[in-house]
Amino acid sequence: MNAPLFTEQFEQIRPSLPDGDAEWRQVALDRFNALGLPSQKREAWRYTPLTGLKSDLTAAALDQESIGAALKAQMIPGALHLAFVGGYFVPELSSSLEGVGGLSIANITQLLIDDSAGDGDALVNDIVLNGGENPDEALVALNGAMVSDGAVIDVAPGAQITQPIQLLYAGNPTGLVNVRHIVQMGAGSRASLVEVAQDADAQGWLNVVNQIALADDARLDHLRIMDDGEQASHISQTRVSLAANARYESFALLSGGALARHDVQAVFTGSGGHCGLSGIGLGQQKQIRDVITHIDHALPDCTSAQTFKNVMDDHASSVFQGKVTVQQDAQRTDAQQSNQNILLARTATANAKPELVIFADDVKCAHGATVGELDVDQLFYLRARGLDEETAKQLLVEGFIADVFEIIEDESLRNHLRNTASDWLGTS
Amino acid sequence: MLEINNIHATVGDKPILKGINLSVNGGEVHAIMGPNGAGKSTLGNVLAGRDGYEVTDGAVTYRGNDLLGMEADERARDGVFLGFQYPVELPGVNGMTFLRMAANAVRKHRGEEALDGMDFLKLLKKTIAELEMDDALLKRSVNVGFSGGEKKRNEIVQMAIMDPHLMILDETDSGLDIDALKLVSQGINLMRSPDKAIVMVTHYQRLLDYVKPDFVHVLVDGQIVDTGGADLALKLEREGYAAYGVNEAA
Repeated sequence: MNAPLFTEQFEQIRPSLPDGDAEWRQVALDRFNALGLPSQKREAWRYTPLTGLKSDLTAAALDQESIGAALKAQMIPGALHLAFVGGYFVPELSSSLEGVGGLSIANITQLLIDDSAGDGDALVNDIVLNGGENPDEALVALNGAMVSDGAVIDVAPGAQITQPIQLLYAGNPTGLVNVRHIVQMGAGSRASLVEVAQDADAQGWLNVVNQIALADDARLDHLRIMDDGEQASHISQTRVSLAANARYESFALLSGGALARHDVQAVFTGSGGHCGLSGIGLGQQKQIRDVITHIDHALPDCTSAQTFKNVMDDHASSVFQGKVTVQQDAQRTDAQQSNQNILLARTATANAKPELVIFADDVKCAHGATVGELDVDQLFYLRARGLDEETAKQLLVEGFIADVFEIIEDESLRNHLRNTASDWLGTS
Repeated sequence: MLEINNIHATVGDKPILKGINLSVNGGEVHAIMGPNGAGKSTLGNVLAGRDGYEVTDGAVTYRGNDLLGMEADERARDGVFLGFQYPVELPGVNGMTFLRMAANAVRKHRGEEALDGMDFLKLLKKTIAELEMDDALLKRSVNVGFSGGEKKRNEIVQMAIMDPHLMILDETDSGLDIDALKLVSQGINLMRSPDKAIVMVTHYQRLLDYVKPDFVHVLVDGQIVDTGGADLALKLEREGYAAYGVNEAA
């Protein structure tokens, strides 16, 4: 049996967590301890070691002023900002929701405290103890035990929220931060959510769980920037359900930190929906850029499209494990999947593992994966036009990833993400 | 401008150029003709500094400097322009951005200030008007989805923007219909000036109807075996390369 990994630390930090002595925290921790930390023998974690996972949960003393300044620099103009520092929501750094109709945002731990004082554990069971039940999901269970804060975002039926909702993370110099968000999109509503972790000083682990439910005809655009400092690790686990004709469009930029893992699992609970997952991984040194997806076509007439591109330099490695399941009833499914990789050094690695599991017969499914180097003819062409080798390479890499950004509909958000990638490439 | 002295070159250990001598002065237009496999494109690639083309003997002096000692991009910035037989597609690389970067790389090398977006647009507009080109192509990714003719015209726009001293045009006429050939030729003629030189590598004579060469050289099996005036090209068109021991039908 696995030795209880975080029991001691948990007992230490428990008093400082909201609703710290709640029974559900212990249930979640027991669940995590029973599962243990996933080892690389598990396929889902094969390329991503968790040996460095911090067990030090002691919150460091934070310099609020400098964190506030850093956060402000990351704020997208015109967005509604929700700032999380060291895993806690900070209203002073966040936007007021006054005048924004159809949107309510609550604090997850406050809801849980209120619920505990109330009539039962429905909320706890629905939220914190939802997920984290198989060994690959151990970090979801851990998140349940240790969750410090998170946003509960409710978009009213029919509401069209034009301002992007931006979640910002900072202030994680050493420890393990667990944040959990619940997003509920009412029927026919529309919103966009942008998660940004861009803290140059972060050296700890950020473990984020998103639970997203889209009602009929709802649409959510979900963008994510994982661009923390070199020592940081960021694991993001998103669980999405899509009712009839709902649309979920996700884009992730994995450009910072020693480890960035983007894990999305989506299931269609109604027919006619669309799930688009796309992203770009940029890695250097020994960094790991890990994308793992599972789209469950449980019902007919749904479509999904996945486009992920990676550029790895030095000893960096990328992972794409993309699974699509088409259940027996899911006739007329259209599922497309593409993963393209460029290695800038012979020592870099791309692990591409597309997987289709099809039980229906009337389906259109395609997947493709490529791994290559920069094209020597293209490089020479650019150099023959006066560009030095370094600039030529940057331009080709930028060209390679350019079309993925086109998936982002909102122009200012698209430019924001493109600029973040250009900063990494040195072409901005 | 350019002194090629007894150049020998190999591609993947195979000897292609076997002692080329050529002298090109400012204001001159040279045509290099020859049968397939004679080494015409290799000569262009050697002069432009492409990887994989190894010079095993000889020297090239360009405007008083050792050309072979310079990197490919350095040569381009210093005014050596290679017009590609097969211009390369660059997906995701915007044509306008690419041109401005090329122009500014040259300007920086010359000690001139970089052009900002507005100034560059002015220069581009003027150039495109002179060349009677269509700027719609420049808003797309470089050469992606272009027709053969559009790619060659794009080469001419790049050439004009980079304002080189020495232009090496590799089969620039291939794949062009007669209207495109006229436009491309007009673009080349606009570049002629006493301080610039042009070396055209071509298989056929028809380009030379529009861009009249001062010298025509015949390249066979890695060596220049004959040199004459524009009339030599006409003779080659009529009689082929049989006089030089080449059987093109083989």
